[in-house]
Amino acid sequence: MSDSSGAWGELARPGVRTQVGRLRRFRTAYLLVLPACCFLAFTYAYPVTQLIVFSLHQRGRGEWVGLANYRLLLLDPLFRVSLLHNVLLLGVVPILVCLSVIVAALLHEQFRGWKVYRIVVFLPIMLPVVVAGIAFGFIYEVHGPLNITLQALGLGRFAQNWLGDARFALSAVAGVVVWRQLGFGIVLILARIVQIPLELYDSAGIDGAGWWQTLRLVTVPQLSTIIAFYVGVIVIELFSWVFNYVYVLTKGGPGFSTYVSELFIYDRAFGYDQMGIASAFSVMVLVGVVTSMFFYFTWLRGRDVF
Amino acid sequence: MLVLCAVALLPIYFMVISAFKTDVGYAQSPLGLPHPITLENFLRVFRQSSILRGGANSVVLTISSVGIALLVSTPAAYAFARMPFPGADLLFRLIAALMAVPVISVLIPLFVFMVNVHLINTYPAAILVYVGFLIPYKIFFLTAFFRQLPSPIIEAAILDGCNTPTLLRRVVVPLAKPALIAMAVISIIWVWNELLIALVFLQTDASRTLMVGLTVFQDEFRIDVPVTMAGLVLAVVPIVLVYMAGIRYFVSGFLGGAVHGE
Amino acid sequence: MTVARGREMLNQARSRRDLIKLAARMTVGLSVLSTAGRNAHAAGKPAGNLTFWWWGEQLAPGLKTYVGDAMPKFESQYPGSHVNAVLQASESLLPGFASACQAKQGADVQFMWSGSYVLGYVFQGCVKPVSDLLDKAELQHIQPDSLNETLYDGKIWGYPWFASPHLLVYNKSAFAKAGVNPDTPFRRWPEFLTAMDKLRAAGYVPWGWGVRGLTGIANVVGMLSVQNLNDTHELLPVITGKVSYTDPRYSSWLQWVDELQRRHVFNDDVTSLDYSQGQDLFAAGRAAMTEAGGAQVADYANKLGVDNVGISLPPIVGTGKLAGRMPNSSEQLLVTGWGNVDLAVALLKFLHTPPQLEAMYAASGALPTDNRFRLRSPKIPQHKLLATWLQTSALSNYQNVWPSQMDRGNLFLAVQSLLGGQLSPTAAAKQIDDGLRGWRAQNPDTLKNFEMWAASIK
Repeated sequence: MSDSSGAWGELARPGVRTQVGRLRRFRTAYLLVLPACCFLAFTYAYPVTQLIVFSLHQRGRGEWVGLANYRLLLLDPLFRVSLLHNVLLLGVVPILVCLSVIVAALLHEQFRGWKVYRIVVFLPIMLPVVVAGIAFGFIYEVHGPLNITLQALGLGRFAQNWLGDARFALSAVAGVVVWRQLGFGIVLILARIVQIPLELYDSAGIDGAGWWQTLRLVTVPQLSTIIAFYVGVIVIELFSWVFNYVYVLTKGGPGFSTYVSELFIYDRAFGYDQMGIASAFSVMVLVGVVTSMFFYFTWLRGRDVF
Repeated sequence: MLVLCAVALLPIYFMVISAFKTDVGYAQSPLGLPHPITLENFLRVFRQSSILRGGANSVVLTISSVGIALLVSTPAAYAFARMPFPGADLLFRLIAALMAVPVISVLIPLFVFMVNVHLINTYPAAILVYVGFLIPYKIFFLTAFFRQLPSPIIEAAILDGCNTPTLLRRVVVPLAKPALIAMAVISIIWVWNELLIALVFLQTDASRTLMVGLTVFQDEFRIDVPVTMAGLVLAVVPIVLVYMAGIRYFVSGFLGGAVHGE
Repeated sequence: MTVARGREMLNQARSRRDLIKLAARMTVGLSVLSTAGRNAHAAGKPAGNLTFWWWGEQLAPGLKTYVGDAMPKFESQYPGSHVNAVLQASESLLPGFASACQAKQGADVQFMWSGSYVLGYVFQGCVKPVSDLLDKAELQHIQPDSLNETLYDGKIWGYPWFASPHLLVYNKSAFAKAGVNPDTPFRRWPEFLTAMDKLRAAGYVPWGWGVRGLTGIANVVGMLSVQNLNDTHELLPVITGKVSYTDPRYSSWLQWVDELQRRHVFNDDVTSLDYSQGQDLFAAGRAAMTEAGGAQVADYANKLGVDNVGISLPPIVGTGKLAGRMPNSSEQLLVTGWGNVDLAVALLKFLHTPPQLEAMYAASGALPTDNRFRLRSPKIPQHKLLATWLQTSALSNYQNVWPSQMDRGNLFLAVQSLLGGQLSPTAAAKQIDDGLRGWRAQNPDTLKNFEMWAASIK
């Protein structure tokens, strides 16, 4: 039974270490957290304040323009388009979660050949994104292996110009993201699965539960916290860590069909000398995510997940 | 399962066969088997990309960054998970939100900062940046793992008079070993493969990392695929070894032998 | 935050920046003074530390070896000097210089891609004009189109180091098999089209190209897009909005590209392949011809046989002086506004002495646009032709003038849509024009700079 009051809470009973005062207890906690916060302040506080400053000046370095960059940003149709594509990419979240859980559960069973499988499923994430990008650039070709396989299976009408057609490019990129990110989810879920007490499985076995039922009714509830956290991370990854995929595969094309937030920032900060707008976008993404995270965890707390 | 493996292996297959192809062979048949087979690419990697020095730099960078990040994140995660202190909630959400800061955004301010304090092209600059990016993830996940730790053991240890450092070292860490190792492996892979930060903060020949060294084989318009793949084949070997070493810890059904009932 | 507080912050920032600038200057000045003191007999010759941020190994492999050899030679000619030459990665060239410019520290000599890239930094005040620092006798050796790539406000702001031309490379035996003269295959458009038809009939992809990923589109477009003009700077009135892009003078090339696509001159999966995959069709012998950079010619000669590789200028289809000329972009060396100027100028002059130019070519195949360069031992016979073309038949690539945002965010996309059949040439021209209008509205300050640029060219 997880107790949100924590181990300390139970000890705040009279007669048990009454010398342990509130302040001393909290001081320890603060000390534990301090070093991490120092590093974070260093790496993030300065740049973020700089970003705010940049966003308030012409091109980030010129005269003061107040909120003009933000206004320009909101008027730019590409602003909405980029964010929309990040949101569309969220479609991979359920896929990643389901696949991770199933595969991790399978690996946990340790059936024949599992030692090999556990290395193979993790290989994609060990590779730099550029390898995946180049390889999938070939796989997705009009005359490439994917279409050839589809045709061989009699599914020829599904064969498309995956990366060259604006209708499919984003899905194609999403496919590469799933391919690569799956391993991370599997490792994470697996690390939690091994913590589940065996007794729970024993009782399920006694009750005659099948594999799928055990998974749904025993394993998944135990995984609820880590899945909740994993979903939070995936969402963040799809907003802020997909740059490499898009850059290697399509550079945002064809047209702007795979243009995402990071590419918007990259083009403006590094290519068009519009640091002010790029910074404004960054600030908005940060604010957006902070508030989203806030509500997400509030919501999770409300559903008693932790 | 088999289908999954086949799909997972495709790009790796591509990487390995490309490493053995000649330029013309690659142009003629990007996805077929190499014919003729050549080791020329590997030789070029050694000759032109100073892979050994780059590898050494990458090793130093990876171990320092991940080590420091773990050292700093573990106590913090424990505090967030099991010690409710005022402001914990808010701080945790803030740190979690930092995961969403794209590297692109903070790159220029950080770069200017490092140049101003003359730390550019030194290890500490890159390590500081990497640690900064690793901490939010680590704290986020380790907190989740620590919350799930069996309370009885921890309470027992506290009642036995355990102070916090000992508690962490002797009880919490061993219990959470699978999670810690999982985090370490994932972070090692990230830092090792990371390109953009390494490119901008470590530009001199002496300080360049392995991955950056391989970019010498690409120009403005195209990347020389066979030789780059050869370099990447070499670069991925240490990562695979790290993973194989680490995976024993969180798949062995490690249970610590102390969890009974509840 | 009030406006006054903001202004206050800005002033503080300015003075802080000035402080850094001053400190940097003092440091450099001190180091110069100290070394000058130590080498009194070298008085008159500049000395001190020089940081050289360069790029080009990626384009012309072997350049790194050349630079490694050349710097000690320079140091021996200028006692008391020490050069720190750092090869930049393609990704960090622009942000590196941008950050250096903001911090006012970094390289003394900075490499930069030509044209509007350089001008962008000129507008930011990062660069000193080389025409103020080098005398006319030095500058007149450079081919004028090449020199004028960074012409602005009556001054030249970059010193061309080596050339980056784009030309057609073709497979002679494939041409011969198809019944096209392998030595003089075409010069004008009609015979070019006939040649392409013959190649397709013989089973080849006439021209291998890929436009996925947007890379490399400009290299092909550059061969056709300015053929109705007499000088690349004539694009400036279009950029500033005085003329519409839909005027056939500027947008006819879209019709020509469309014609090529309809005649199946390009591979049918041109929107599915990226630039290097398109070129690989040529390396694999499946395409008879492709567009390539000057530095790639030797590479193809190795792969396909020296006697089998032919090079050609773009076919003549337009009516301007630039028709049929080879687009070129000269890689520029800039003298930064905060560095060791005297030593930087010395380095620039040193790199253009004939022995250095010849050593550079020998190590890397990079060709300069300097007429002091004598091609004594060409690596491949095609280089003789190429070197001649650089002096007689080059034009300043349209990208030297065109804003980069209007490439990636506008022109490239129009080409993708044109080739994908989603836009007609007229619609594509209109889309490019609309894009320009939007860009002008969003960037009034840059527009003003372009207007100044245009006015200064008259």
